[in-house]
Amino acid sequence: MKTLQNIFVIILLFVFNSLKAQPYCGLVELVPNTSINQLLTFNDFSDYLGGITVNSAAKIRVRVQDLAIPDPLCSWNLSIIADNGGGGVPVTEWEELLSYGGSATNPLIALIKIRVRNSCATSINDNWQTFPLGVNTDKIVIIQNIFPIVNNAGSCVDNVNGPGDYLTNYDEYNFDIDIRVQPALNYNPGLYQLNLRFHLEENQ
Amino acid sequence: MKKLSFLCGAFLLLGASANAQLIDEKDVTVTMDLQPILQLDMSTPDQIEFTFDEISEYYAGITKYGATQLRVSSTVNWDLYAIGRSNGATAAGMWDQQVVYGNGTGISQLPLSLIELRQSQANPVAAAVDYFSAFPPVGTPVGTNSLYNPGGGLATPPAATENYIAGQAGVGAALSVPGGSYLGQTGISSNYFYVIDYRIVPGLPAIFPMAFAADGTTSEALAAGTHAQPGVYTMYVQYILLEDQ
Repeated sequence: MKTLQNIFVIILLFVFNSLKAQPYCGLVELVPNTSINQLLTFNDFSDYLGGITVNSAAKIRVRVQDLAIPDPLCSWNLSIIADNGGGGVPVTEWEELLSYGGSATNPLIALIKIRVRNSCATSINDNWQTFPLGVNTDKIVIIQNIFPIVNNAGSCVDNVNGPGDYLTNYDEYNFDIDIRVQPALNYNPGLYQLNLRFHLEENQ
Repeated sequence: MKKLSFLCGAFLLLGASANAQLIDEKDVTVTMDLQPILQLDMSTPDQIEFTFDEISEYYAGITKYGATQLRVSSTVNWDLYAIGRSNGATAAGMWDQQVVYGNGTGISQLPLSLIELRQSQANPVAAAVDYFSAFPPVGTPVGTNSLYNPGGGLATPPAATENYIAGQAGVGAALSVPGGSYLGQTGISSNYFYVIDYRIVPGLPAIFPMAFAADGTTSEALAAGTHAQPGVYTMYVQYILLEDQ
């Protein structure tokens, strides 16, 4: 019986050790990761028809560090996820905070356009993009998950995804987020909200 | 054996936690404040004068083509209507008499509905009645183009069966014009741009046969055998653009 227990312990330790080896990076972090609120007020026809653009509405800074013993497969991806709060909110619409009345429809998620910029244009979507499906939890990819390919810091190409940070490679690990909303004249007046969740994760 | 189970459980938990993928997230919340805007731009003379000093003008009336241009811009569904108004100095719901000519015989209370309107573009709400019909022949008075006037000097909006330039009484997309602006329109016509013609036909004697109540069928012409008192009269046409309601 004692021998059997020992065999189990050895097997489990082996499994545990192999699982422990799974993370390829030591740290994956957005700096700072506090929330930002951006208010767009439409009170003029030129705003409605021409839209409002906020350049650098947010700055996303990435820091990815190797393990103590660097793993050559350490890489990361970055995306934006639309979040309208869920619950009873229709999946294609912004969350209504306050209605000023009206008999048309509420604004759609597809209204918002996002552009992600940095000096090396490492994002595959560095021109104006809308959420492709226009629904809650829809995603715009900034840096693709191309595991196991690693584009190292300093290469200044699309999808730079190796370890590095905005302090040493600012042109690749800093992202300026531009927002544009052009509602035109088809939606109910009111106060609406949409959360953009920037999601950074290690590639696997 | 029990100890072995606990040990297995502990290792599995450790293994699972060790498997966790490294992730970080940041939120940017965008709040959009869509404030409602209703805007009516109007081009019109300060005064539109109808001077009747020829017999033919009494018989055939005077028409002022394209005297008023209405341009709408709105971020919400909307309705547009015209209403006859006066100061009520002579009587509520009647033209204001400013000057009396001659010995003062005749009737001074002239109904606001004696003026007719014609709009250049049909009401976009197909079921609604409007001022798009051509001015009817003076020999066969019809109330299709008589200016809406609820009577008694009131400003009550027209009912669903009464004249709207655009939209209709009641709430709903089918009863209103959607938000939009004449600014973004091309072509020779637009639901956001209207040109208004005016006509007054006094008749002879001057009983104003084209004056009809808001229902379009009840005549408000002066009684046969009477006539309007010669003089100067004024009134105003109020154009009301409002959110669909």
